[in-house]
Parts: sequence; structure tokens; C-alpha cells
Amino acid sequence: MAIQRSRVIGFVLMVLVAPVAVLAQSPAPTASEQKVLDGFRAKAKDYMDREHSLAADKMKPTTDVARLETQRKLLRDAVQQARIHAKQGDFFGEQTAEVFRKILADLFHGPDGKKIEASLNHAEPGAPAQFRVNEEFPNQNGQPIQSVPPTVLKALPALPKGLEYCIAGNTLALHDTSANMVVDYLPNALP
Amino acid sequence: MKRLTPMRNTIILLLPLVMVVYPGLPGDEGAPAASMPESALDVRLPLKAGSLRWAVIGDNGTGEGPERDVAHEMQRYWTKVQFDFVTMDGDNIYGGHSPRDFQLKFEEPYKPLLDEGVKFYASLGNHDDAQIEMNYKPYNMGGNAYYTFDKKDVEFFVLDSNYMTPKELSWLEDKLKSSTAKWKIAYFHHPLYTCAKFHGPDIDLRNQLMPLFTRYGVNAVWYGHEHVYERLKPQEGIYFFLEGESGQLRYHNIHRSCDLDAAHFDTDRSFMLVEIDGDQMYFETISRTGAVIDSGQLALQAKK
Repeated sequence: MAIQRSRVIGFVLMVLVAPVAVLAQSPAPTASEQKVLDGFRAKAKDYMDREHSLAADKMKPTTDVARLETQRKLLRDAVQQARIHAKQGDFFGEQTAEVFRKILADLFHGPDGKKIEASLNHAEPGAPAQFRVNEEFPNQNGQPIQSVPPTVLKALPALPKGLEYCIAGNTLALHDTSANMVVDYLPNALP
Repeated sequence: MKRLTPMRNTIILLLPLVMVVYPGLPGDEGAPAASMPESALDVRLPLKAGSLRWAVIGDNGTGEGPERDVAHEMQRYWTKVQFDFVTMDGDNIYGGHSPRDFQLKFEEPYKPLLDEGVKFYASLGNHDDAQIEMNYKPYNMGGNAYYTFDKKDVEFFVLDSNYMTPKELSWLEDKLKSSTAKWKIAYFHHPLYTCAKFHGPDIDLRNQLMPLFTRYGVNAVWYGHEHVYERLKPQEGIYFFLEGESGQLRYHNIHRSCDLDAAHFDTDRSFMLVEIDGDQMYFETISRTGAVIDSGQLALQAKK
């Protein structure tokens, strides 16, 4: 009888607590936040569409490393020229920055926060942190990159192929992987 | 736990001067170690007719003496084992990624194997230049950061653990679900379990991958990142190996109090040889001096 009662209490607690736990892990964005995130996604897609139109040819597997380097450099030159006035905040404008910081703060202060922090600390301390918009990604001499924890990637808006998030210190950068270029970055993104 | 020590790690005392020699110290990038004569190859794989054989390297791409020593031993063992291909646990090229770097850190050390038609299948580490290496033909990545390939009874799932997106996880789930291979083997760069001190395990990655590995019957997993060798005790029924010292080394970097390891080696570089024949997997791990530092036989796990 006592066991049955504790099971019932346990079930009631689970029903009451589970949604709270889920909310704490990934609170759904409000309508206005969702609008901001949709805008960010549209901008990212537009960026990649434009880049595809600028690419002279697509990288294909080859033994010729010099050719791959040249292709990437030509693409970067073309993109840099096409957005010569690009500046920090073009993608992470005030509203977008606020929503991203909130998403990351919720995540880091949520139940997975400690694991994510541990993953970041373990992965590669000392990853590059000096990002400059529209310039080559700061990994030219093979500096190690920080892996982005899968839970963080689940929480942030999905990016089109060719764009990736990168974390260095508490900065979140937007990395154009085809051109190996910094598209934008958000200082103090991580709490 | 069995403590593995190669012959060359014997402390040599020379009188009247006392010299302590530890081959394999970080920074020991001098002339290649003297190899044992050809007849001293210690092959512990059964070399069964029709079996699948391959080699495993990780964190190799330094271009320095130890990487070349390991490559030389791989070539020597190839003459007897005739492995078909090499899997790479990531950090394939350290430092710059110019054409000369690819020559120094890959093409020259492994030239004898490449000349014999041995294929290399790379995964990406955090020191790798993803865009260039994905498209570098000798790495057989087909322009992809993650991919699969089949060999006889085995399907290999090569993952990008630098950037494990929901899309990649979903792709992996689909691939595992539809795989009919007898053996499912995954490899990538970041360790899910390790006793090494420098980075430690990636818990977040483990939380994402283990449910898929257990649900869809992954049999064995390889990774690197830590510059040591570890054979872990099976975790949730899955065999785990860490091979991250085929060029780099973090000397004495394994927690001695950690009880996850079945065997480990952190005093010199190494590579692995693996053979699968039916329901059995055989392996041996060889140091850069040619000494066998671990070996064994593992059975295909019963399907859940």
C-alpha cells in the first residue's frame, strides 16, 4: 500500500516537474524572439545564396592542395569585395544579440550547463579569439579550433551549409567555411 | 590493471656518466629509432584468408621524426599483414596546411603505403583545416565532413565531432538504422571516455552519441584527441579504443587511479592493426619501435 502511494506521488511529481525541467532546458522563444531568429536565418540563407553566385567553381576532391587554397582565396576575395562595408553587428544586431545571449544564458544556467562548460573547457583551451569581420578566419597557422558542443548547436538557429558557429572564449562567431572568413561575431555571447 | 611498458623504455645506465634515456619524450624529434630486423615482426593477428584488415592512426600529422618512425613500422608490418586501408582519428595535419605541409606531414611519411595502394580514410580533428582536408583526395572523404564506407562485413561511420549538428545526428541515426552490416564501427576525434588528463572526456558529445550507438548496435568506437593509447573496458557493451599518439605524445598523461582502462600506453607513439573475421575482431597495438604493447581478441556482441 505504502509502495503504491509513493508510486502515485512519484508519478504526480513527475507530471508536475517534467514540463518545468524541459522548459528550463530549452524555453521556447516568444513570438517576438522567434521573429528575430527568423530574420537571422533569412539573412544567413541570403548570404549563402549570394556566395554561391560569386563562386567561380565548386571545390572538388583533388590531390592538388594548392588548387584548393587558390579556389578558397578567390572565393574569399570575391565575398570580401561584395560586402566591403560589412561590420560587426550586421548579423548579430542589437535585437538578435539579445536573443542569442538569452538562449545561451538559459542553456548554460540550465540542467546541461555544467556539462556544456566542461565540454568547452576540455575541448581546446586557447582557441583563437581575435575575430575581424570580413577577414580570414584566425586559423591560418593551424591554430586549434574549439568544438561547439552539440547541445549548443541544438539550441541555436540552424545555419545553411557553408556557415558555422564558432566559440572562442565567450565570443560566438559566424564562420563562412567555404571562404574561411569571419562573417560576424558576437562578443560576450556566453554568460 | 596491466601496466604496459615497451622494451625501449628501460632506463639505461651508462657508467661513469649516468644517463637516463626515455625514448619518446615530447620534443624527441631526432633521427628515427633503429627498427628491429624484419624477422622480429611480432604479428599477433591470425591473418585468416578473406578477413578484413586495417590500421588505425590518430593525432599523427606532425611531420616530425616520431610520425615517420610510426609510418615506417606500419610499412614494415604491412609487408606481412597486408592491411587494405588506414583509418585516421583526426588531427591529420598540424600547423600550416600548405601543399608542402601535406607533403611533409602525410605524403612523405606514408609514401610506401600509398605506393602499395593502401587507402586512408580521415576524420577531422580540431587542428585540421576542414574545407581543405575534406577535399584532399587521398583522405577519401568525398568532400564531406562526415561519411560512411563499407568493407566486407563492416560499415564504418566517420563523424565530425568538431561540429556535431542536429543534422549530423539525424543523418547518423538514419545511417545506423538502415545499416545491415554485421559490424558497425564509428570513429571520430573527441573521446567519449578516457583516463587521459589533458582534455578528458567530452560529456556533452557522449550524451548525444551513446543513445544512438546503443540503440542501433554500434560494436566498436575509435577516437583520438588525447595523445595516448587506451583500450577501455567496454562501455554499455561497446568496445572503445583511443589511438591519439601516432605522431604526438603526452608523456605519462594517463590518470593512474582511473579504472576505465583495460590497457593503456603513454610513453611512446603507436598505431594499431585490426582484423575482422566473421564474428571475431583481433587487434594489436604497436609502438614506434615495433614492440607490441597490447593485443587481443573481441567477439561480436549479441544483438539486443
